[in-house]
Amino acid sequence: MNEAVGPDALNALAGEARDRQAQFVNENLRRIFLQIYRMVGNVADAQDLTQEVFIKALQRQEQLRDLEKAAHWLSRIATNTAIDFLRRHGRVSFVEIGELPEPVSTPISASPEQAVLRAERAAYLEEGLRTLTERERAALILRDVEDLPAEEVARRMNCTKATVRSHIANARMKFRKYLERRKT
Amino acid sequence: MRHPDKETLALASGGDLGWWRRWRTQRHLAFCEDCRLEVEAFRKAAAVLREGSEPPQDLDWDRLAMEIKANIRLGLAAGEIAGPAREAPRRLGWRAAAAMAGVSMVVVSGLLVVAPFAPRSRAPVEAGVTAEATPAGIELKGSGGKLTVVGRAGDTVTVSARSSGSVAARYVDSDTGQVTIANVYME
Repeated sequence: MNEAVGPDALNALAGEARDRQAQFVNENLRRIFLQIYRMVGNVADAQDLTQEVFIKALQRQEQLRDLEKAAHWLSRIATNTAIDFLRRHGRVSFVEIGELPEPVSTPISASPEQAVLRAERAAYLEEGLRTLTERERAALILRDVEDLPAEEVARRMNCTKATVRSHIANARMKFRKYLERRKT
Repeated sequence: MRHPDKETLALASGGDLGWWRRWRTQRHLAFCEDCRLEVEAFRKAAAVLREGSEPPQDLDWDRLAMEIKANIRLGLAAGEIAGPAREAPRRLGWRAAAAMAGVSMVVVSGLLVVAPFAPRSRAPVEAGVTAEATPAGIELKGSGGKLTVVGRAGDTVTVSARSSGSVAARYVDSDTGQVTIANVYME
């Protein structure tokens, strides 16, 4: 027998869905932002991509029933979105002082010297990461920076553990070579 | 002494070898300082990457988070207005396309072989349909309606009925001399 659903019940359901969405965003926002930031190397792109990832995820409400599973699923979307971004942009992302986004810098605590040092350091690392392919870069960041086990990296990158190991080894060798070349 | 290759040492630096390769590599490292230094260099490079991958210390996270959340809400609202995105039509893989082509050929060949020998079906003659020659022309009546093949008023119309079930009307236009023949077949 069908029960009639009144407007109050519909409002309550909509409210519940909104609360669930808000909880999902609050619990995962920082983690996903940092994951993407480490992969793309700058705040402005990381912000855009984080927004994109959450919008994609929240448009599929049925995936949010199990929040723990949804968090894993979200990480995979984030990884793929970042890899797509790196591929589209040819892994180029220059960080210049003038390009540092307005809302994230607090001019009182950061001196111009610190900003210069930070920008130089970021550009230095970015140049090293640009010597890697998108997938090598993703594997290296997920394994060595995010500290995820190789199995989880493979799951997120949708490939086998052997492939991930190969990506990680190549990435470590190339990145180390870059650092040594810059030292000399 | 045979040293492990660089790939093995790179994986060993992060504990990413399988148990057998790990055991062999560790045994080697216990006696080989060169390889130990190699592994250490990989670890240092990873540490440099880790340190440099942290977001700026002056990142105003609360403000940034607020901005991201607002943009997410905006994006979701825009998505609701635009409606769900349509999925692009899936393209057939070459295997599916080849299979479909094969099936189509079999069906077409079958039709070509069978069709010439199959008797053509005729539309059933509806019971109660009659043809009648009237002053207006030839009239077909049935199912509460009628169809009239109109003759030319004023001219002499010759109407003939055949046993095969057709009715013909012929007349000659007195002005132009044009002959008009109308045949009505009942099927």
